[in-house]
Amino acid sequence: MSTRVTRLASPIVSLIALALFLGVLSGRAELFLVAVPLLVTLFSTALRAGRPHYTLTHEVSAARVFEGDRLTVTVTVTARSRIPLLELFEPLPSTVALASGDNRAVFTLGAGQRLRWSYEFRCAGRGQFTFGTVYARLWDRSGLRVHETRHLAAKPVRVYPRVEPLRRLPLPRRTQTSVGNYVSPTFGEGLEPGDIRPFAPGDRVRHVNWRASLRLGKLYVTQYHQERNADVVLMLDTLGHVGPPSASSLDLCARGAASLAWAYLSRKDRVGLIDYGGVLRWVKPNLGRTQFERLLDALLSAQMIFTYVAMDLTLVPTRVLPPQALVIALSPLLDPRFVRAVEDLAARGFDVVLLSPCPIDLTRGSVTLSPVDDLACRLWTLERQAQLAQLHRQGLAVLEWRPDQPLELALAPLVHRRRWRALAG
Amino acid sequence: MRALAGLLALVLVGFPLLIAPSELTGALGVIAGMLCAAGIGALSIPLLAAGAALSLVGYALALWPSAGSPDPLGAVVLGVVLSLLFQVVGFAARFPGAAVDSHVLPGQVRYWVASGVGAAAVGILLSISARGIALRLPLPAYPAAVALGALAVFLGVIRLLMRAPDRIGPVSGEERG
Repeated sequence: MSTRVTRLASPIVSLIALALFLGVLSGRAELFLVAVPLLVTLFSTALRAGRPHYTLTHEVSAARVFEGDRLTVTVTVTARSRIPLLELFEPLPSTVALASGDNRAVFTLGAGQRLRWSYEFRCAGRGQFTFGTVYARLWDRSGLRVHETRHLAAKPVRVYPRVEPLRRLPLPRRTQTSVGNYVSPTFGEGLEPGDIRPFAPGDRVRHVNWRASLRLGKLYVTQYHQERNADVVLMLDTLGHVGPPSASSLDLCARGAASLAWAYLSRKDRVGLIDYGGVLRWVKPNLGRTQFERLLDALLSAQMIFTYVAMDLTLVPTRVLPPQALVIALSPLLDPRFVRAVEDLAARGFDVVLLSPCPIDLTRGSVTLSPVDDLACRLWTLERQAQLAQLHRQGLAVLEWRPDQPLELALAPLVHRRRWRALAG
Repeated sequence: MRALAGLLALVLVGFPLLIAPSELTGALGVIAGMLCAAGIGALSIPLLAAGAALSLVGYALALWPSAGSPDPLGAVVLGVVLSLLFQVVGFAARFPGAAVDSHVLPGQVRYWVASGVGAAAVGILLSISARGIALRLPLPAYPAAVALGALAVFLGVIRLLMRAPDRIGPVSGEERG
């Protein structure tokens, strides 16, 4: 704790000096007396030299939350001696918005008094933050002296991307060998009845289709479709992003990836992640809740790292990008290197879905546009439409995602198309 | 808080005009009043200090021609007003945007009242004791007494400043807990 005289002291000292000077100059005693109350204030502050004693504890309601969740900070101060004015301030990161209360407050405490100060904030953007740094200022009543200190009790808080519930998902074209929720075209053990065929030695009696057997006068068995899972690889574009902090295209992509990961993992699919940016990072596909947490941790640290180097996807091991996997690429399509990487994957036979948050809407929403900017945005829209049409012609499933649109709505066209194809097939 | 400061500034600016209303004190009062109003409006201590300094000059000018007996009570009241004005504006400027607990302001007002009364009492006591000293001291001892008083004042100020060096910056100490 350090103590200092505030800037308020200097005008008071100057006025004392001025009053004394004018008193000597004019030879009037009143001007000396004017200085007396100012001197009394100054000296009374100097004589009250005792440093207040107190203890401070800091608590945060949760260490791991999702975007949009609220956190409560509670600071408890116990005064051992009287504190005339205690000013507490906890700086907050820019992606956090106060929901109730205030992160800066002033109190008065008597000796032995205990104070609980709490405030609530909403985590608007993903990220890893450290709370618990509280700045304390103990003011003298006159405002001429202040004791300053900083309390450090690091409380790391992880704000994960928000997960949107998705009822319907794009079906993968190909399934894997493990048991899952997708009805495979191949016959085997399963619940979904497929075709019937004549009975063959070795068939189970419980598979005999008695209605068909009676009608056709011969034993027939029902064949069942196998139920399989799929490998889904989410490919995140971290080569470039646009938009305001905590609502940028990268944040949208991270939210989309988290939502898709949760939805596919709930269907017993194996989900992996490739962070395609300045540094190529990945999480190999796996199942379960632990995998979801692993993916969330990877999405938490996903950030744009600028590079001139084009990352080659052949660097990615096969176990990370398994054959026949459904690759969902999330990108605003700002960098041609990502587009080339996606085209490369499609050419290698992967089932690629390109989900692209509209960067033009994000740009329009974040800045005030002049007529020239507006014209540039309109030209950009035309260019983007042409780019999406070209990718569509190349056989890629392209989905445009408006920032104000729920993810499920953006996925809907592909969900319906693939459902019809599955039913027809 | 600004209303209270405005009232105090009005007393400060109007006092010289009550003693000796003249064109010069009037002009000084207007400028001082404007500076004080700007200081209170913007919660700026330097502007307020400029206004207060002009008021003091106006007060000295108002006292100069009058040859009557000194008015210690008025002077002490003016000093108390000056001290309170700085404290009030300093308080208002100290916590912008902060949530101030409901117990803070009543305690602060009590302190201002007590400190004002205390300072006024000290001022009156000093003026009374000065009259006593004036009767006993020979004329050549007056400059020595003034010099001694000034020395005491500046030693006090130096002691105050030496005990706590003015360090500008948000944080100077650090505690873990």
